[in-house]
Amino acid sequence: MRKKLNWFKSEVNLAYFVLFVSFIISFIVNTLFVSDRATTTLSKLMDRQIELQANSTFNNINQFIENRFKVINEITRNSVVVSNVMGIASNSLNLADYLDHITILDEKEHIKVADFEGNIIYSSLKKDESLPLWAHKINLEERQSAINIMSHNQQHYFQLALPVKYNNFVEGVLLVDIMSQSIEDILQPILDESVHAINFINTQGLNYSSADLSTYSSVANFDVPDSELTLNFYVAPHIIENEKNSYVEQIGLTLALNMLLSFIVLVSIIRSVLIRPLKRIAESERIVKHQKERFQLAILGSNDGIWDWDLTIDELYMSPKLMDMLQLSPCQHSDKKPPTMNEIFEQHVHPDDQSKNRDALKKHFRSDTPYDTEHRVLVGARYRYFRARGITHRNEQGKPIRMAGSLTDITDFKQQRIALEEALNKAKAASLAKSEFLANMSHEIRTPMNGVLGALQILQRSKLPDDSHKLVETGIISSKSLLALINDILDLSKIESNNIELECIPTDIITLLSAVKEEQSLAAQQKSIKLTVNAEALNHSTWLIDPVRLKQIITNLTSNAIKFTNVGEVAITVSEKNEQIKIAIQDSGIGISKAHLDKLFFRFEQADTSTTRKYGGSGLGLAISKQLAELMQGDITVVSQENIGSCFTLTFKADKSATTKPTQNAQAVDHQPEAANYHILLAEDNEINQIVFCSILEPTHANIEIASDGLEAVKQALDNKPDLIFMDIQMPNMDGIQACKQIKSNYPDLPIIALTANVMSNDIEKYIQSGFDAYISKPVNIKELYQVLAEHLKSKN
Amino acid sequence: MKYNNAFIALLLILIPCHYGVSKTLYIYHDADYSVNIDSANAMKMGFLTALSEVDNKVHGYNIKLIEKNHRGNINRSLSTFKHFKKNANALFILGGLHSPPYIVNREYINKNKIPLLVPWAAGGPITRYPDSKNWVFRLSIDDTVAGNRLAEHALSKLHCKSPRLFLEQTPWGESNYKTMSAYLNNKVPFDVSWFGWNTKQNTAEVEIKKAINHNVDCLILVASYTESVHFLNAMLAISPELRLPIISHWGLTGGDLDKVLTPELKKGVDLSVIQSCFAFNDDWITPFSEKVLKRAKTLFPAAFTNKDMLNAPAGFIHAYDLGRIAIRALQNIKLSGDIKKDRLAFKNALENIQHPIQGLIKQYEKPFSIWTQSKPDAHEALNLADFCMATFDDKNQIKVLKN
Repeated sequence: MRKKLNWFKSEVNLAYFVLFVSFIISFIVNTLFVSDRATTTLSKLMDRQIELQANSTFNNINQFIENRFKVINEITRNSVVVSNVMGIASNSLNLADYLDHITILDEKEHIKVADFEGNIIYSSLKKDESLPLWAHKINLEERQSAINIMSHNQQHYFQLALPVKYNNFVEGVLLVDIMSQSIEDILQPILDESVHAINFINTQGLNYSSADLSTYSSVANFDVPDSELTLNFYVAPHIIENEKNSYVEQIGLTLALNMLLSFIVLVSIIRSVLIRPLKRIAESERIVKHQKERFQLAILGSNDGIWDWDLTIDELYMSPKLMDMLQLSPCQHSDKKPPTMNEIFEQHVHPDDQSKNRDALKKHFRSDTPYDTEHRVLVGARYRYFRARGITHRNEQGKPIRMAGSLTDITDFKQQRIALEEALNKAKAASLAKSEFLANMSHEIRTPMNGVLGALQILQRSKLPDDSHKLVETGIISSKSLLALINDILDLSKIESNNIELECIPTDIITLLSAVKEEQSLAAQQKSIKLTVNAEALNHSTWLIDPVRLKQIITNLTSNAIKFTNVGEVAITVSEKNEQIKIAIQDSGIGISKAHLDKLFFRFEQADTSTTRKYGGSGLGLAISKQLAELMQGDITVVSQENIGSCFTLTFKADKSATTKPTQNAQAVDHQPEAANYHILLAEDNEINQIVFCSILEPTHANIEIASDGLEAVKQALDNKPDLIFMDIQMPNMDGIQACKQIKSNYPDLPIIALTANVMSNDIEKYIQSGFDAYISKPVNIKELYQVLAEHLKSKN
Repeated sequence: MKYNNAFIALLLILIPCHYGVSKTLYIYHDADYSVNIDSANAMKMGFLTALSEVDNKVHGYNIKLIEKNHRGNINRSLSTFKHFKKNANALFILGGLHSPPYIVNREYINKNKIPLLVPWAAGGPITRYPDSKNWVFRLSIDDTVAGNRLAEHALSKLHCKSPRLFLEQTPWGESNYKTMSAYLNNKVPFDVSWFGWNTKQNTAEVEIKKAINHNVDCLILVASYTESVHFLNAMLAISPELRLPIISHWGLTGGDLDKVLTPELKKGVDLSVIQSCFAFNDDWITPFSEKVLKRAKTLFPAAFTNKDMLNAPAGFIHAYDLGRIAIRALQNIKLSGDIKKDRLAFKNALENIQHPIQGLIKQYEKPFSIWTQSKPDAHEALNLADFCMATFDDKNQIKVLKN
């Protein structure tokens, strides 16, 4: 009940209710009023209609009879008929000839002619008949004409009789039975039998009715002219009444429908024009109220001061919060007028910030640039930092007319930010120092290593005694080991200092695994271990991954597997599932105990210290591999059983690629390319590296020119325009990057290869952006050097 | 005293017995008392005038004339005859103007031994029932010869070269056709237009125009009063230069001549009619006829108002003469009271009148005799010599021309 009452509380619902009640009342009133009038009018109309129907029926019948009487009358005047009626026997055949062919309104009817005594002297039916009494009255001059109704085969027909006169004296009678059209046929199109009926009566007891009159009421009667016949017209009152009621109902229904339609239309219009707008207004009011509350709450919650500046009258509204923030009070101003914006500016904004603030305001007015400034405002005796934000409302001409905004006390924030900035700067400085240290260390270690390894590689290619050759190989192996350790340390440092970035290039995993197998096959072969690669479960071979780091991980795991396997095999299996690649390296090695599995991926940890002594290794490989795997959004897991074997599984996510891009460092060329007449410029400040480099390239017969710093390199390049330049990065006077840029500005097509010990990813990126065509890391790998040279020779040719 | 009263009482009883309760014999006048009422009245007045000369009594019987209006309807006439037959006090029937009833019903009349005295109807067959038991007697124009008069007048007096017979399609017309065609054959070319009763003026005009288009130069008309009027008016409606003279039978004279014989018509149309050779005018009047006229005027003053003569005088004349003959015949028989016997005696008396009877038209020596095939005119009181043509004066009185 309460719910129902609450429904009426809504103005809209109340409006609907009122409309509905109005509709009901209108309907009732109209129905009562209209139905009464309708019934009365309808009754009159129906009575009139009945009257017309009766008249029409009578007129139709009368017309029917009159038309035939006219024709029959003409026949009675015919001399043949008259003569025969007068008894001229000689004309009897003529009479038959005449009447046998006569038609009455194109219909053959039954015709009889009687003499003055009523004897039939002609019958079209050719049978003995006598003139009926009702027709004989014409002979007796009791009637001028006579009409009768006969029945035949359940139908009724008119019989019309007229006198045959001679000298205006009745000498006989012409009687016609109108058989061509029964009374039922005449009435059928003009009478609705269910509603109307007629009845013919005369004084001789004739009584023909078109229906059972017990349920009908007489409404009119007509005397058929020149006859004793009276036509009575009947209607079925109950049917009339039903029709009337039906009409009234229809009127009522129509009225109701019209009113309902009107009501619906009215409701729709009111809804559209009034209720919806009212609802919208109410909603808007509610929203406004809500927004106002929210606004006020937000203001209270935000702790900001609100200002509203009417530019047209230069009136500034400041919220109480703002007044409080600025420690302003009404009594502050003796004239009790609120201060203008300009006054606030001049009196409270720090002089050093006023100009900036005004400029920002002007810029905002001019170009709608957001007004958002920070400045110092005098609060009490001290300046505090505030952030002022505002938005302008413009008129139709685009002129600012009003501006509103907020003022936030950011003094604490400012101070915190300053502290943060300082901390950040310190952190950046520390990070930079660290990066520089790493870069320097990488460079400082690699540079001499370049000399060592380079020299050893050169020695390896020269003719030496076997024992010397062995020593050289040992030196190379040791150098490579040391280089590997340095690389691992640098990698680990890069990872920890987030200096490593993974590439994402199309890489054929099968090709990559094949390369790893190729590189590790010698070591496996030496231990008589079978090394296999199974890629049957890989449906798609090319993926977007960092080939270098993937190869680094697989190489690390494979080399470990080979290292810790004495007999059996190492199987590399790759598979894919749901954009995830799984590479498992299964070995039949010594296995790993459970206790050591946990710390396997910690750096500098191996299974145990005996492992280091027996198998060597820095203990960084797995740690680096794991971290690389995690960078690739994957992981490395291990399952192992002592003396059975271990299975290291690398799982990572990758996207498929349609194409395969060759990796940066393709398979190195073993033999030196022929580069006679090929002019190469080497920019290297380290003499050892110069010697090593030239030694390496000597077999190529290339013409090598050396520059000791960047400046020299630029001069020589511009003067001599070499075919290829190998440029060290760190050089005095001008580093390799500057030199490259200068050379490239003159000879953009001159290939320049960076020689660098700085192999951090950001360094590599920097080199490429500076214009270097490629890079070779130090210590230089001879095969790699030959490969680069061969490629450039090929492209030049 | 006692014996005187008884004697008086006896006388009172006997005298009536001797003279009987005043008995009446009826004469039916079967005539057209409608359109041709003038002719019917004329016949009635003529007969009654004759009857009045014997105080309307014969042999102690009152003789009463009963009007039986047949309106020209043959069947109605037959009905009269049937009624007469059953009437034990009806002696004879006085006929009327129309021939067809007596021609068509001739068989019945004679078979039923109904004495019929015809003062006007002129159809030939009327009196020529081929049997000695012929009960029809006529004192009137006989078409078996009248047609000759008409045709002869057309050829001799009007000098018609191409007459046309306009005959009503009745036995009367047919009998005239027989006579006239016999006369005209081999004399002049002629044609016939037949018309029925109730022929109106338009039809008449069409027929006349057809005749004119066929170069007919005169019209011999045999029609009753009604049709005659239409033909006369039809002729008047035709352009004067095209009009044809009309030689008419006497059907026209059966009705009101004043209605039809307008000065315009008499001036515009050459009209002559056949009549019996007598008229109540200076050309024909005799002391006897004056006496008769006087008696008639006394008896029927209303009929003679504003006129010297009543309408349809032929009817009066014929009926008077026939009445005198009938009375003579009655006087010559004894009435038995058995009507059949009395009718037969009457008939026989009519055929055996020995002494002359003075009439208006002539003195009748032996008006009728027993009819035989060789004496077809036995029941005709008049003959061709008694038929004259007539015209009309400005008072529409019939002016009988002497042959």
